[in-house]
Amino acid sequence: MGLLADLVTVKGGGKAFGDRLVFHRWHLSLAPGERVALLGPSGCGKTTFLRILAGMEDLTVGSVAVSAQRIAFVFQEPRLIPWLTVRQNLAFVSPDDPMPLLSRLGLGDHADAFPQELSGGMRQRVNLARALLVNPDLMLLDEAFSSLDVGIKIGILEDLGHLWRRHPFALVVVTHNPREALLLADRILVIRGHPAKISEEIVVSLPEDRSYADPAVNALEAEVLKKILQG
Amino acid sequence: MRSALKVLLGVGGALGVWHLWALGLDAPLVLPFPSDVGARLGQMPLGPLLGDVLSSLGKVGAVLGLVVLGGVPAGIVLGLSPRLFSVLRPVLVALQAIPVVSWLALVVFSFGIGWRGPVLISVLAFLPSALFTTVQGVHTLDSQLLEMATLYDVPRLKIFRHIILGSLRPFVGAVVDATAGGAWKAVLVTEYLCGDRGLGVRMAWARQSVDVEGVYVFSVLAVVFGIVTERAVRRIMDRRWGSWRTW
Repeated sequence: MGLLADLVTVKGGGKAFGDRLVFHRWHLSLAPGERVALLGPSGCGKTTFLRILAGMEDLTVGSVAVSAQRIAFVFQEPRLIPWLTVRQNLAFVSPDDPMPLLSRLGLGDHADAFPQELSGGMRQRVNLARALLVNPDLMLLDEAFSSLDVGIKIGILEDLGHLWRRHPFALVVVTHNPREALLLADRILVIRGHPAKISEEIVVSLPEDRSYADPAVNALEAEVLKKILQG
Repeated sequence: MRSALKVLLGVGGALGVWHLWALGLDAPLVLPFPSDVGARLGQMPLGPLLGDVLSSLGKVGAVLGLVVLGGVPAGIVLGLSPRLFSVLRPVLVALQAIPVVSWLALVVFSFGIGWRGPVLISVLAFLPSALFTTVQGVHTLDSQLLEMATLYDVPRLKIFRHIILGSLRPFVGAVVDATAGGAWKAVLVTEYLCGDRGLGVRMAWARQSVDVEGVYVFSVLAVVFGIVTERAVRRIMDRRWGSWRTW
């Protein structure tokens, strides 16, 4: 990514749990504003890799350097504090006014609701709002939308795309859904094998303004699936 | 309105059963009629009676305050320090098992007859369970929330206030509930044994002078104030903490 210094650099990264090597020889460099998706089956170490980037775990072998000042993590489960309202949950991580962001994400009328009063999709939007509110230079998305209905998922993915265009942060998306990867990333790293390796890098040559039903996305999805199956 | 009617019906029913029981037993020294107990209450000078009620109420308040303000912070420290907890756990278990009478001699020798004995013994009776409940609360903290807070660089004080104390609400609520409910009983027993004033002391005097109706008056007052205290504390907590029992 040209002249910009990398926000994330992983060289020869590997992780073992006890005697079991989960992944090895992973390399990644990510410049500011760049988006990459890790696409692979469950249990290949994708989430562990995100946790390593967030500083929550260490690599067993190799090196990782993350120079981002503000990291945001959109967890698979929303991790909202049940006894705080939506507004208080957001104030917990940032003193900034959350209302413009909540309105943009369709949650303007629910700022004073408790998480248990919201639907799954709304809770996941709050999870996303919390990540965006800290004005991140690196956002990590851990299969954040996998449990949502397709209609809600499309809405959130497109919202995220719009928000990224307004404020381009570096993004690492973990998913096992090729379409999600195509909508959110500029590069897709396909992960395969035991221990898992990055077997292929696919450059996503789509315009920045992408939509879920875009025929170009359909065509590219078929291509990505073909590459996964060939492997 | 309907709930007030239910309460009145319940109280009326209980008085009716009491009356019939006293009628059947026909032993006024064991079970006097409710009307005789009411008449005895009417004979009592209001000023001293009120003074004794307030004295017992003050002790109950002190017990509740000391158990919550002492037990909860100490429980948090023990919950966050597994090594310290494992060292102190046998002491706390032993403390919990010591009967009230064992403290009695010690307290009377140390403080004589007065308010300190009933308060101290009652606190010692409730403190271990408050500690264990709080420790249990700390052990059930949601590690995912703590991880989220660490990831977003939330200051420790904020984490303590919003996640740790927030998670402990149901447990602190249970401590307050249990202590408010039981403190009256403990205070009255200890007043009876080593107090200088209060409803327990009045009960001891009534027993000594074979004033059976008097014993019943103080028992009924203790039950009424016990229920009122428990309800009041619960209402304050519900207002302050909302639905703390539900999450």
